[in-house]
Amino acid sequence: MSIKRKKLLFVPGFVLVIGLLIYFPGRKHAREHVNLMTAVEDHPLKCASCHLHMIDKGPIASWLNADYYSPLNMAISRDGNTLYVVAQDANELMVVDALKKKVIQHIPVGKYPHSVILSEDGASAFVSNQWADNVMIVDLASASVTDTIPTGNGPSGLSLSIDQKYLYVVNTFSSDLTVINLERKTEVKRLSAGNNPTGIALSPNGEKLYVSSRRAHMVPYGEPTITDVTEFNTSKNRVSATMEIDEAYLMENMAFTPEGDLALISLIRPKNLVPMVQVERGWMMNHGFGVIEQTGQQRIIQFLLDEPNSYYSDPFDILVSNDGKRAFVSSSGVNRISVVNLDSIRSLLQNYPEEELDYLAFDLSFSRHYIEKRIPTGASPKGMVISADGSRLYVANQLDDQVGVIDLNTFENLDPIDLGGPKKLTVARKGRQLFVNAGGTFQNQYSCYTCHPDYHEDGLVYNMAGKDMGRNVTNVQSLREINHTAPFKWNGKNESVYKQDGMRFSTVLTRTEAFSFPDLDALASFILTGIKNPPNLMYNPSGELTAAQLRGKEIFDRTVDNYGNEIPEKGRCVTCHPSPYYSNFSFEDVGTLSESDDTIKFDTPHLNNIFASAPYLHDGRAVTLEEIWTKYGGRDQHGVVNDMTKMQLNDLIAYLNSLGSAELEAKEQEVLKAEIKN
Amino acid sequence: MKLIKLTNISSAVLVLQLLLFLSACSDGSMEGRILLTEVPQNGSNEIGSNNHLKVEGARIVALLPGGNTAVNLTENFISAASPAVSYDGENMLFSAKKESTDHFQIFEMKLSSGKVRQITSCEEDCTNPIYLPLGRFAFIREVASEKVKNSNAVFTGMLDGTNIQQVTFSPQRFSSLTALNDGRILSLVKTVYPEEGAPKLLVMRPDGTKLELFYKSDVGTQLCSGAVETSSENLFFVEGNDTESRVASVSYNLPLHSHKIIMEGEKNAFLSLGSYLDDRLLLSYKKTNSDNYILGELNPVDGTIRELYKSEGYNVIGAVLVQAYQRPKNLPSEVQPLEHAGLLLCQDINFLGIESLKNESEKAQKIEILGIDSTLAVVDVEDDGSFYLKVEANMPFRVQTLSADNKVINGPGSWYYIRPNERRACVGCHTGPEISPFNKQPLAVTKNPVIIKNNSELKLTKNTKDYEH
Repeated sequence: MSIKRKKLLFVPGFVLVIGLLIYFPGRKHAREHVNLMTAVEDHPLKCASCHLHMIDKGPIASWLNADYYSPLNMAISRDGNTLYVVAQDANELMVVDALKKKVIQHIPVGKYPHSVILSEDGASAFVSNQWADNVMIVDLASASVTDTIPTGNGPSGLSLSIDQKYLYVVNTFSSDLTVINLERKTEVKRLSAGNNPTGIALSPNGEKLYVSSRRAHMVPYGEPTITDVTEFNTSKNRVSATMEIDEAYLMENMAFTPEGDLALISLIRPKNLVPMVQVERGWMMNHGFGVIEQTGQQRIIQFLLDEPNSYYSDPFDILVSNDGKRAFVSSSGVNRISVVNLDSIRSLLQNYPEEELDYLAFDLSFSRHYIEKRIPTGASPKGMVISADGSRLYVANQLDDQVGVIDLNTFENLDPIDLGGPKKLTVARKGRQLFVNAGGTFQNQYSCYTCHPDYHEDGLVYNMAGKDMGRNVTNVQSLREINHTAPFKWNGKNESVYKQDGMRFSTVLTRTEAFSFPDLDALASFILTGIKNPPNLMYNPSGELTAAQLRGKEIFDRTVDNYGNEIPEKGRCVTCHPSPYYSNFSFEDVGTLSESDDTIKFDTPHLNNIFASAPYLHDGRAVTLEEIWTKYGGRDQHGVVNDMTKMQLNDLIAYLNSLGSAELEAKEQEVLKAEIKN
Repeated sequence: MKLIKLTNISSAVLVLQLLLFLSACSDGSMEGRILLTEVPQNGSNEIGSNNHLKVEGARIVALLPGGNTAVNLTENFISAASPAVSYDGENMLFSAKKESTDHFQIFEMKLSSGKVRQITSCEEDCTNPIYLPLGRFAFIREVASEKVKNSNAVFTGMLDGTNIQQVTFSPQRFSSLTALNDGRILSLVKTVYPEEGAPKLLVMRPDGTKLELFYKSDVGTQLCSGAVETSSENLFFVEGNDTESRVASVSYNLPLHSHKIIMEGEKNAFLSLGSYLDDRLLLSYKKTNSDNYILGELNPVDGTIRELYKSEGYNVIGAVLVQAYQRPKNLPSEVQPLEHAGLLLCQDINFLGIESLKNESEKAQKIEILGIDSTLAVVDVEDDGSFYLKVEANMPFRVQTLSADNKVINGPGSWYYIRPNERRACVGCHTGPEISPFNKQPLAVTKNPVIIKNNSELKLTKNTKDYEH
């Protein structure tokens, strides 16, 4: 054999030997690593699952993902020929020819638009931009934005006064209602509106405006779950009443019947105060709608959508047919629209005393008396509209990039309208579909989204019954931008989302078949890369700290107390909460364990957008950031604060409230600054 | 040239022979055939008593497509019954015995080859096998004791015969298991102790946890068969009374309020159902009371029957179609065999459903836990009517409510048992499976659970496992 040939053979041989040397020990290490991260021993060794699909920025992330439209809410022209669709992920208002089932225009609007309504003459559309804190007026003839009007924080639901002089804007994040004078095109009033409201409905006579909240009252664990509907007098533009809806929350939307005899609210009835030991018998979540009688006793009665072995999770929109005979409720967790016979509801209201109806809101079989039909939809049905002639129901199938079309004479689906989004289903998009779908829980009783609405948290504290019943109650944690913040859970026991949402998750929470490995890959990819914090426009709109926030930052960073004593390293805020995530990802006892807690140390939570995550601490006992120290700070166990004046504490909290997204890029900050200046 | 030609021809012949050889080796598919049990006519006095599947001479046959020809699949057994087809349509579970003196055991047959292997080796009769997801199966085994006669229990195990374990522990008699699409097991069950009760359809998770009512017939009507679930989310079964027999259905979503009569016949006219093509059903029925049971195809929409097969001298029962089936969900199990107890919570023993709103009856203040033959404990309930127990695992018990002076307010309810580490809860004592809980924290769970045990020597270790997600 010639030397040349020997050399030729040597090279591949060498590569092979090196390859084998790397492969076998490498594979062993990879197996150990994957076992550790997934808490199972049979997860496929697919490096791409974590090391590719968890990349959340840069060119690779762009290559992996696609720009979907994600329609959320809609409006329809008076002649029923044109749909105006809010494409939330594309920051667009899409104009759709409903007859030809074709998108005819894309109108750029503000960041993360939420709702759209039309003026009575059909000339203008009003679009709420939830992540830009404004409303845009769109001239539909020219398809251009003519005015941008600042609102409160997180504008969502919209309504026009009956004389078209005022535009009412629900501000979800600041929990109030903006009243805009449309002649002056400016906000003239801001009225308090419950907690995290979105839904809005004007009575047919225009006198009464309802706004429904999503978050319940902040109360100590064990006290009843109550959520508000706020009533406004439109002639005086004043709050006229606050109605407390018992045992309900996440009241996403509202509607009046055309006759004005009933107001309807979509809602969820959580079971967070009972130990979560089973799913059977509706033990975790019930879903339904509320009715506010407008005549007679003006009772507030709730009805379930659910059935004993089937649940209709995450009701979003509620809409009444033009003849007032039926209501439609879109359940985004199960891809269904429930058809409610309102005459049956009226009959039940007439024939049953309130006490019995209150009891029947626990009876999973009672829906048989008023549910006429369940209509299948595309992925994650959200906002709905009905054509003026009452023949068509349109539904925004958010995660299909489609508008579903339903014949209201037959309640059958017609061909949907394709909005033209990407045809490829990315791993993260599939994960989002799984996240919002209740198919991953026993009998579809709840989805991930149910307790994590807006991919955030629902403000409730649950008894997960981890160790015996009644122990270790747990405040739900936000899922926004949790990539790079492992470990997870208050006790930090889960090193990865795989472990969090894997086999144990199915045993104690979803109580049905565990997610398949590809589904778990997709879910983890979405959770870690697809959930962004909204910009903190409430406390830090310009990216520059106020004087109080600057003073607060000094306190946050301080090493010496008011008396000149050096603060031990463990007692400094910045030690455990360093930027950019404001967590050192290690464990600490901050003196907040209660008798019903097991002895654990807490995984230091990250603080980005902390202002949006009340209540605070592991069991949600602190209603405000302030209470963390004024009521539960103990003997400086949660940072040295007892030397501070009230003013200093206020400054510290002002600074904490200013913390925004760690991911908010400088360029985006510049855009925000420019928008605000304009 | 000639040589090349010859070589080519030889090669072609060889390839052809190889193909023929390989095709001869491949197994014949049984897809589309109907498997059924034929019970000899002389055993007909047992028909309808749930013992008909144990009659000697019973055999499983495969009905050939398009004809009345049947092939006996169980020639080597003195009795064989209850065929169940695997989710891939490739295998069949059945119960059978080879000698009169044997006990019935569970066997699995590869349908394409007829190769049979024994799975169980029970010292009592093991019958009614069904497939469960991921290589598991369930069956019924006799477990009668001196005290509780005629009772049996559901067991599960791996198809290789390992990990066989009892999953039900109540003094009841199970017959006819069905694996529901949601992953649970549905069974026709009647209580046998202290007195015999009416058969009901009960549902449980495959580990025996969360056993509860699924459906019961109205008074005067008796459930006569297990249920068959179709893709239309309906369940079909046979029920009857002293004068007539019916095929009826309920919806999966709302079983207690969706009863529909599909067809009616004379007493004992219908016996069993199996799923068939296009949401139709295989029905064992007889035309007149003096006839044998024959096989028909039932259209549940219009209630018509088309005769498919009859066997001279035999009753034809328990038919199943060989095809691939949708696998039910593989439910996770909370059972931890090394734990000695489970937890039981009741929100309010005085809440009896809507009647509680109408009647101001005397409030119970205690509960009595009744075992098979003795009182296990009397426990004070909390002011809100809640109680919280840590109960010895796998021990049957009933609960009755008492007044402060130990007067019985509500007599003992259904039999319960708690599996090791099971966590179970109910709203009230007689509220049924359709009432969801009130969203309030029961006072009882703010304290430690009351320990209930049968054997005073048994140490109930503290539940210290972490079941958080």
